[in-house]
Amino acid sequence: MLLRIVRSSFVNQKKAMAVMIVAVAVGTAIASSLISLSLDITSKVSKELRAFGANIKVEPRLQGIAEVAGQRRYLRSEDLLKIKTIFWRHNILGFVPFLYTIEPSTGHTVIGTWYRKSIKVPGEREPFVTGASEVMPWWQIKGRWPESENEVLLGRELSSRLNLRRGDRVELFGRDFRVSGILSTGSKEDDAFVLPLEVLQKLSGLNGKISEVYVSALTTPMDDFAYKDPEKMSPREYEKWYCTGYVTSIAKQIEEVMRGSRARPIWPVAETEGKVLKRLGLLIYLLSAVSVISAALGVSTTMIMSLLRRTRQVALMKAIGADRLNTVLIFLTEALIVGFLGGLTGYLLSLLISKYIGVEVFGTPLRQRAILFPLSLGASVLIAVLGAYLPIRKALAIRPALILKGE
Amino acid sequence: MRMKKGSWLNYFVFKNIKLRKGRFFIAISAVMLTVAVLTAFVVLSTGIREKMSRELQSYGANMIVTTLTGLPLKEDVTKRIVSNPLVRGFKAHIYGTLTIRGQELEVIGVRKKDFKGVRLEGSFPEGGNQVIVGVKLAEALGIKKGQSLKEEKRGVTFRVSGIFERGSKADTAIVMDLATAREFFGIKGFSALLLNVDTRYISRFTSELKRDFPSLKITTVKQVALAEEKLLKKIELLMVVVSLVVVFSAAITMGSTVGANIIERMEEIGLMKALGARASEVGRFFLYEAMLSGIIGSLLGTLAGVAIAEAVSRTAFNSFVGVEIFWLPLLICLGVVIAVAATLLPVRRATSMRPSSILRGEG
Amino acid sequence: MSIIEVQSLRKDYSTAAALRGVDLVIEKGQWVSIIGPSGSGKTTLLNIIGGLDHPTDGKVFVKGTDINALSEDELSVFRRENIGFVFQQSHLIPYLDATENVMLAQYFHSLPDRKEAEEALKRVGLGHRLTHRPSQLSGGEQQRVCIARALINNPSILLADEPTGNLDRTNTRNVLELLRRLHQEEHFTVVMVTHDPYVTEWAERVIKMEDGRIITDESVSG
Ligand SMILES: Nc1ncnc2c1ncn2[C@@H]1O[C@H](COP(=O)(O)OP(=O)(O)O)[C@@H](O)[C@H]1O
Ligand SMILES: [Mg+2]
Repeated sequence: MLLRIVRSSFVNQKKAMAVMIVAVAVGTAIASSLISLSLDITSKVSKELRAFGANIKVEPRLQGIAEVAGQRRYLRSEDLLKIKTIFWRHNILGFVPFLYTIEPSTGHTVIGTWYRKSIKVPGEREPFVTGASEVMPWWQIKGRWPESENEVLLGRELSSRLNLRRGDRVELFGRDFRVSGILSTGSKEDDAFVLPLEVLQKLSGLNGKISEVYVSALTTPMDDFAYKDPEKMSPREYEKWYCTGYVTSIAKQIEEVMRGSRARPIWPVAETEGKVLKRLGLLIYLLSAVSVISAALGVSTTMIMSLLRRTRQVALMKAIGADRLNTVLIFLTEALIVGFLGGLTGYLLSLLISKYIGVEVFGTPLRQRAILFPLSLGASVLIAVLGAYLPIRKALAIRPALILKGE
Repeated sequence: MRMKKGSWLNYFVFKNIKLRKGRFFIAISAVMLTVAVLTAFVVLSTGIREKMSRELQSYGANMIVTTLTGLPLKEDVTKRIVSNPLVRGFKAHIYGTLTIRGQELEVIGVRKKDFKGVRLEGSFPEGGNQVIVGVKLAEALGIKKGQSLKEEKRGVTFRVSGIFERGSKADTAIVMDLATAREFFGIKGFSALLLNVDTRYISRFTSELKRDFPSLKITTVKQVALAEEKLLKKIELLMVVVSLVVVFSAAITMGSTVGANIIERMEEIGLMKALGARASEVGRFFLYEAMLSGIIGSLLGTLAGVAIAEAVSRTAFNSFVGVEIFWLPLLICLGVVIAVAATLLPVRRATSMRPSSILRGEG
Repeated sequence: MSIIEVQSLRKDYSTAAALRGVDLVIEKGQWVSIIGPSGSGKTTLLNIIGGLDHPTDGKVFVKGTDINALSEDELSVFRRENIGFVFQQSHLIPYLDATENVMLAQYFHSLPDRKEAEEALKRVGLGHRLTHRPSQLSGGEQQRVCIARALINNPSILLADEPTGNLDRTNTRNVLELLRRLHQEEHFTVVMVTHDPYVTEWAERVIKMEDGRIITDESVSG
């Protein structure tokens, strides 16, 4: 009987029910997708922040005053691959080795590096693609990166100084090169020749040697603990520090695998990143909270508005002898169904919305968290029931006669 | 006493509001809620670029200004550059060298407040004879905090008040306070100006600067400028997309609240038509009420929205966000429009129905 | 002189036909009762005459106007100038008091006049209930408010759909006596739908309907 009444109330009041379900669905959709967003925002934005370039710089360890004066020490090419074997290897998004040399006859700087290099990492199926194109996205090449052993890239400032253009010939290390493109980076490469690392190593006789490496890593924002000196930590603390993806601990791990190296965070990048992530994360959290609250209130006002008119029905039921429990049950069942249907559609809608937000802004959909399904369903049912409860209680409190007469 | 037709409309509508305060209150709350959310998102979306670009300044300058001649920048030139509204922030540097242990070492003079994005062990140099030393230089020369350094050319002794690490070229340099450096090297003006220019207008700013001061050397730090603009665009886009989604849904829930009220009053509409009211005359009744709740709700909503935006901004950015005033009337209008639309749509549907079917209790 | 003329009127609903060819002419000033069992199409006929509903087929002339040819708004205007309604459920506006409910009809017609509205209520014997809201009135009182409202703009036709359907004998009598007095004073045409033979005693002409058709149509003398 109860179910029959509920069913006919849905059939006979399609519009009112539809309005309630729509309100619950939209509210749930918005709440759930914004929660997805706030849970995913830091990981999405920290990827975006990598556009500011490397956050760790690896150099040879300096010993004594001689190195400052210009005597060179080098890192080894063969250690590069080990960067992808450290504990936080999956957080290493890219690295770029550089070798700096001086062309003996002209005194021009010649830089060797990787532009887009595909390397095989032990234990990984997909090759790892890295190089300046990944880590330094602001590099601009007019022309193309050298493809054969007799092509060279020319920095923008040097090209205008030497009055050389794309396609011109130039002699380096006693060999003939063709300028395959003009490079502009806004830093020292603008004033140099740039060659693929391996080509320069061979030409300059510095086989297997590199001057420095820039690493781009996804990191955990620095907190108070992270700023503690690792050397003064207890073994437990050190363990925790080592296994957290702080920029300092990742630098430390890189230092351990690259012989004779000193890895340092690039602090302006590392610190700004942490700050930006914290601020933006907080902003999105707060906005989500605002939206969730407003959705809940919005759904409640709709439910109350819709059910106020049902006070008449409550009175009628009381008049034909339904007891309080039965009356309440009928309306609660109704609210449950509204909540459930609304919650379900809302959750499905939120999948679309969070995909839309993710793809539109970050190019990849937001991560879907399974926990949101029961959560949004539960919340929408709860709100629907609460929104129904108020008017029911009000209706039950009034004598049927008054309501039936149209008060 | 005879009243005009309009006054009677007032009379009937207010009678309804007076006797159904609860419903009117709920309608106002629904409008207020929507407009508050809308306002909060609009205020934060329009303010986010300014807030975030201030945070991003610690990545470093996106433009460096020096002179082509290598002479210091004059004080008045500097003032004119930094007073340009496109300049969001600036740092001034003074460069020089010190001879220590037989080596010429680079020195940067900088103000304490501009020395950011750095890890410093010790304290920033205060007063005349203090310096801090870059970590690479310190390691190479074996310099420790608290040590004294003797500058050999001029015979002055400096105390090392700290060791800093920045992860850039500065790590092989010595830093002292700007005023000290200026006095020490006898420089009037500045060696270099490091600017944070609004990234949207960076090329315009560059050409203006070149035109006004042909002797300046202007370098854009591409790495910072491009990444900054890209990130800011992205964050703005995020805010816009999220705002759209949220506002759209808020408008729907508000519409459904207001609409639910109309569904309840269908019988009234049928009756009015039976009494000989034209569709427009019925509409006027509801329009009037919708305008009232729309205006009251929107006014309260914009206030609440600004308050929410400020609270969020205080929490997330430790500062208030500027409100562009011209948005407020726009938002109020939008709130009224949504309230009116959400009312008139179901009312129009009802007035176009046969009164008989409404009065029979359908619909 | 005929005031209402209905020609081969049909009304089909999705489920069934409510009117299956009704022809009817009503003279000005007549009091006509339409009687018939529930579901015989009485309300449908009345609603179509009053322009609250459109027929599937057939023509309706009220005061010489083909009301099917009028737009929805023109119908509204036509109603307020010519027709007063009394429904079975009283359909009063719940947030307005008795006087204001009457004034609302004045408002749509021309301009509200509180004095006139109060006079009208006094004439239907509600002088002591002027500021009561519908929920504070008894069924008979509500129906009397409806009559006052229906007649406030001096319509030439009063359409009443079971106006006494919810009332007891005494109240029914009172309401009908009241209507008769007003009818005698103002000479409007009355079309009253009922399923109660007692109510037809006040009519000058009784039309009997069954299954969407008129089966008898007789004038009552006296
Ligand atoms: N909106 C409607 N939809 C479908 N059928 C209807 C509708 N309104 C009335 N009817 C049917 O038309 C017939 C006549 O109804 P009605 O004119 O109300 O009868 P009466 O007033 O004589 O009791 C009934 O069988 C009723 O079920
Ligand atoms: Mg009927």
